[in-house]
Amino acid sequence: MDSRFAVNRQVGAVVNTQDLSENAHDNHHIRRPAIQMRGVEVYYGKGRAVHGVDLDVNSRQVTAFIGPSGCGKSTILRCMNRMNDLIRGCRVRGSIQIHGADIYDRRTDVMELRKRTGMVFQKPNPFPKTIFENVAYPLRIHGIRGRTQVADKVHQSLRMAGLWDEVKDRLHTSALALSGGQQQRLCIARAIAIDPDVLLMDEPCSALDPIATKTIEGLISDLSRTLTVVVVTHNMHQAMRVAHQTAFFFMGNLVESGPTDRIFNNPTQPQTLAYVTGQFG
Amino acid sequence: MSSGRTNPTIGTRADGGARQLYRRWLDHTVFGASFIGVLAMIAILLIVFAVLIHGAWMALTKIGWHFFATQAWNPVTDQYGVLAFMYGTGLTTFIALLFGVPASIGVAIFITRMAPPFLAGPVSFLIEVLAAIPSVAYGLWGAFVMSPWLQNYGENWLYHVLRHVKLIRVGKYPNNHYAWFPANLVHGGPSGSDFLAGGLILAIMIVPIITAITRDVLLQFPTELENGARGLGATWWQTTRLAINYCRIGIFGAVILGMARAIGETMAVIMVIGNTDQVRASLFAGGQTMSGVLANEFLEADHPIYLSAMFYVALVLMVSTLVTNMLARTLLSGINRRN
Repeated sequence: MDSRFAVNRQVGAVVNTQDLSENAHDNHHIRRPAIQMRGVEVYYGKGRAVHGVDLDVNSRQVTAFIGPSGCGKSTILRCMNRMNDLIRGCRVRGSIQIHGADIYDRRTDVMELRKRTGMVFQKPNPFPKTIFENVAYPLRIHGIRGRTQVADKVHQSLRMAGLWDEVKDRLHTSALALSGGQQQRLCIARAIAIDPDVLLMDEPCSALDPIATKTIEGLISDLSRTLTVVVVTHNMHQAMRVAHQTAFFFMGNLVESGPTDRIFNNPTQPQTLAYVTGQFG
Repeated sequence: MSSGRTNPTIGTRADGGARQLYRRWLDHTVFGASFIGVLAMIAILLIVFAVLIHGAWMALTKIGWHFFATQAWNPVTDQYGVLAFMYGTGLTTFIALLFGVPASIGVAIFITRMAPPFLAGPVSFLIEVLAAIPSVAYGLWGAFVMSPWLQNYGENWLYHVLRHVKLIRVGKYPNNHYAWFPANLVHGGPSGSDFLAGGLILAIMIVPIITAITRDVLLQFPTELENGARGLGATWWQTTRLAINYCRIGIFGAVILGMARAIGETMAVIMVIGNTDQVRASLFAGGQTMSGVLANEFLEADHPIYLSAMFYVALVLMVSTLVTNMLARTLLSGINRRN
């Protein structure tokens, strides 16, 4: 399974090398999508939470999922790293491919999949360990033991998450003493420490104040240069600020998706127009 | 408030005295009764302590610290030592924890993290039923089922596995010099009534309490951390280890409570341990525990120093259980404060 993902990663890498040679933001239409969903349906017990979603998520861009509460946007997000497997009675139909590999294939190694797709949650959830050990945890569970190797990776991840300057003097103190925004950036550092291709963020700023939110949003933009980011948000302004692409979900359906600009300024569906103009939700 | 009447003073009721008096009386009575209950409990604890010290006074003054260095317990020659019984209590408790703790934590993990809901409830209930079986029933089962099985099968097999394992013991040369000697972990013929049997019966008896508390603390492991670990690609076992680590103080407290139970448990142990006042490295040797000697000999203590030595044993026993219990409370309150 390792090799399966490794091969696909290389394909992605080749495509991305081409992207980097040109202006990354202008030619997303020629990219290979990082994630392809076809006919995805999610059931909780007998109830259907998501009805037949077809969606492509572009590589190395930020894609925002917007929609009112209970519209299925988080559920879809949790399909992409199979976190829904942990919920009793949850079933997924249809196909989801990440870099060409069907993640719901019987042979997929779910732990390897989750290694390739980092996840950041609504509520900052650092482990009750030191700052260093939080970021080292994913490395350790995936078998990286070398002291210098782990330390280098931890430092690099903390820098990428913009947390290094604030915590470099207290790496070995409890992560729980950090502020909410710092904790969330620590969780991002933890998620990117094992070099995922995709970063899934489930309302990452909803528990944070505006200043911390601004920091995280800047971070999301930075990360999208090297990662494919999917961010679920209930905050439309956030989607406008950070996302290249936006997908609007309503009642378990994907209503519309496309470049953020078009979704907010020139939507084709009346429901989208009603939502983005604040008529409901 | 009807307008036809003058305003009564705030705080009194228009319907007058009787009911109000009764309600006040109820307040005072329940308050008083609770307070008396608390005082009585504290008094009983202090009185028990005082009685033990008073009863043990003669032995305390005459035997003193030698009590802890004397292995023999021989009322005929007036030799009294608690060493063999402390050893017996310690060794059986150790064996009980050795087998009981992994089993308990395993069952708690099964209940909280493996079993589907239709199994978790019943298993949990059955484990708690184990706690309701009277001690003497365990003893009877131990004496008539476990001991014969150990004697005929279990210990023969164990002998072949462990026959080369040696421990060290303190021994005395004929010239009264002390030295270390090797001692076999298993030695002599299997009897089925020995330290091993005492420890195993205790292991079974401490499983319910350790399991119940471990289950409760494992349930406190937050879903956010569970998801966080799983989201990073942690396997089920890696996440479980994280949960155990998160709950380690509570689990330690559970182990201490189980240990206190093992130290104090009497009836089942004396029915299978062989009741001998000796310190032996061999698991197949008979022994005795502190609580065991009290239960066995309280009717036979017919002269003052014998009786006083019995009180001394009881005092040692009470202090050791008290200390372990207090340790457990402190640790458990520590984890509660953290959450």
